Amino acid sequence: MEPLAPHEKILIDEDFLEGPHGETACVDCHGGNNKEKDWRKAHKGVIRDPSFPDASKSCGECHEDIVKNYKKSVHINLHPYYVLIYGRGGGRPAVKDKINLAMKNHCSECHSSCGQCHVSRPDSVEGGFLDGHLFQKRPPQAEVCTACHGSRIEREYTGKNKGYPADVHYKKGMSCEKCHTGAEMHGTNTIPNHRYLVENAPRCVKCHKDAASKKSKVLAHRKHSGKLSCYVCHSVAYKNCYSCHVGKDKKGLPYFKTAKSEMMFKIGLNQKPDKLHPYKYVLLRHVPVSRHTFDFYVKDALVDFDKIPTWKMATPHNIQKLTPQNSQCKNCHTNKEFFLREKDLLPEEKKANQSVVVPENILPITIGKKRR
Amino acid sequence: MLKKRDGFLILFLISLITSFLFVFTVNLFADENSECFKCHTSTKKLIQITRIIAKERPPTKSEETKGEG
Repeated sequence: MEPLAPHEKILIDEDFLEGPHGETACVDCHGGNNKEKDWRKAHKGVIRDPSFPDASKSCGECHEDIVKNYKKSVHINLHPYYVLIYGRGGGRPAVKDKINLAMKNHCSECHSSCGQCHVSRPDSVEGGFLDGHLFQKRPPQAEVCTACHGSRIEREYTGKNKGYPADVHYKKGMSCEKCHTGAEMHGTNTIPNHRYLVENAPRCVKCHKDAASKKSKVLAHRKHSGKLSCYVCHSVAYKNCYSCHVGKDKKGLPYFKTAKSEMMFKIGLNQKPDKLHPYKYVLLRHVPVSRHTFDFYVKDALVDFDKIPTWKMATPHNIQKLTPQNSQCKNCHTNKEFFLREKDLLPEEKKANQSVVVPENILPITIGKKRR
Repeated sequence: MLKKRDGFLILFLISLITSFLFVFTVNLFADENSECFKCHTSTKKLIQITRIIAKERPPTKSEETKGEG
């Protein structure tokens, strides 16, 4: 994504006035004083993004139906993020306050809003109009979706990880919104505790109707139906991140530091099977959280670190028809390295991942020897 | 044949519709003459102002940030 010059970020296209949004005065959404010639005085009280944190008085004035569940969208409230962080250490009020401060300084910037998808680039990538303040019905993928979901999703989807191919859907020209619809983005009646529980989230079977059926023409599909997530067979290696630490530098500016990322492919146990994900085996991605992530703010904040796995169910966006593990049965059923095993865990994370690691005695290594 | 009274009525209706359209058109582009629009559509003015802002504002990004987000 090309960076924008400061003036380009706020340059309005004169065509804006000819569209339906041009019927509304600037001050009606943004506040400020539209008669004042001095730009400093004119901007007094200006609201940069009138759609965050509450879009009901701006976008909602006309788009009431779309905005009604706005605050329940995980792109707005980051609720699943908080569930996981509080789950690891938010039990004590004094600690929770410090975690909240750290989250405010380092994490909560990564949200979206109506405006930060349909008008400008997200704030977390320093904003800037997408096209002269002209509203975009479909947010452009490179400047909006992958501007935030860049280091993992974009690189996987577009084949930017050296030695790994782009997703077949990308090669077919599919953009994010083909699967991730507005209905998913705009929120529904419920606030999910996990991003995989978002209603209207993409489902492979929506297009590949017979793929997960026991009547599928493909033997492997019939054999593994309901037991393996689609990704277990159809993804290739993906990025895993480690050891995120946050703090403030000498000037008081917030920073984060992460350790080196690694490309890996690990099949593990599904920690919490549910109606949409009933599988025994799923892919697992290591997330960057560490026992010491918030040490700058409060030592040993994540006292319940061992209660939540650091290897999380993953849906890498690098789908292939043929992969190193699925081209022949023996590829997967003779190779222990595809599976997350005790030896793969960092010593300080062994306890946290006991529910997802595949024990040696149940490894599905069924070709060439009898299964125990 | 149109009666004189009908003629006045038609003229009245035409003038009413014309004035309504005029008011509507003026309101359609509510901010064409606002200072916001004049400035935010001028590349020259915005370059000048953003240069001033860049000089006045302290940096917001730490140089210590390292790794992938």
